[in-house]
Amino acid sequence: MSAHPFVLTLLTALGDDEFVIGHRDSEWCAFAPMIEEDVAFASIAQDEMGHARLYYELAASLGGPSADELAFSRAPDAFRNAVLVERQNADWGYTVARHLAYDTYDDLLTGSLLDSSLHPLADIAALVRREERYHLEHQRIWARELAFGTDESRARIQVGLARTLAEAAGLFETLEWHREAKAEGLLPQLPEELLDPFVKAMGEIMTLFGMMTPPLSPEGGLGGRSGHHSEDLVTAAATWQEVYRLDPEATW
Amino acid sequence: MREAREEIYEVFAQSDRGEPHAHVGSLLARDADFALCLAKELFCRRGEAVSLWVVPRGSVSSTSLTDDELLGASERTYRLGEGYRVTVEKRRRLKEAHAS
Repeated sequence: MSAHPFVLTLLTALGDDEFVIGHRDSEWCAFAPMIEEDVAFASIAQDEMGHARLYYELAASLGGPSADELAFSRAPDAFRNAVLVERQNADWGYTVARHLAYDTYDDLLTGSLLDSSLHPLADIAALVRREERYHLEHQRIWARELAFGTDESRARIQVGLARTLAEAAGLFETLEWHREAKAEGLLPQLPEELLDPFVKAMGEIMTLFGMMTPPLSPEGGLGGRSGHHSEDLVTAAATWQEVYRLDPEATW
Repeated sequence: MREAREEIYEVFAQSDRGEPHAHVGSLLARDADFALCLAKELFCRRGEAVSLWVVPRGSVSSTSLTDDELLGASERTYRLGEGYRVTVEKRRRLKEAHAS
């Protein structure tokens, strides 16, 4: 028996954010600012993809396509990730700023999912939170390093934060399937309800590091949750799906 | 601006509660927070440890390479208690004799 479409959409969207940011993280492999960070960031990439797999497999167990099919055979416009996570890495300042924002959002999201009426989803949230705590700490330490480093590093994290917050609203875009999921208790809080705590948490971090709080554009980065993506997702998906598409029937 | 320079931290990992922390490697970091945060991903990425220590290499006092004489130049095998193996074997034989 297949679950309601909104259940599958919700789980897929949760997985898509993790999968896509995990892909972007993996692109730093061999290019991170120092070798220690190279290994560390690749490890974080694997964590994010591992989280995506948990959400995808739960969707699959409720009647959706398999995790591999979700990740590797969907067209870009079938992805429900926020536009923010698909953006190219640009520089290390943007990468850290975006990840800090994403992890701050993810902390609020998974905290709220602990009360989901879909118990396997609450269990996943509990597991994911244990790792995300370290991710958030990792990004906070990097943000601090850049903020108190050189004039250039400070400028880069500041620009990265401005770019991030210009599109962060997309993480909180709330559609009909979110409301259906909330009505059924699957989603204890709507994404839009997490926006104020997010702005507060980000403001606190920035104050701590003596940075200006760039404005969050309420209309910025919307569309991802309904499949409207930038060209960045199209080129990224072409990369991560390239091998799978050569022979979708292959066994690994 | 921060003046702190990167330095080498030695990393110690505990594989399980109650086990000793053992040296697993080293890394470069600017402070202890950063070193711990990197150590977690570098030395625990497959869940190998339940606890980590980081220690600035400068805080470790060590014997010098030429001090190996201090650490045992003379014959010391008599300290190894190898002889007790015979005792164990004797006890086993005695037990067997009593049992039969």
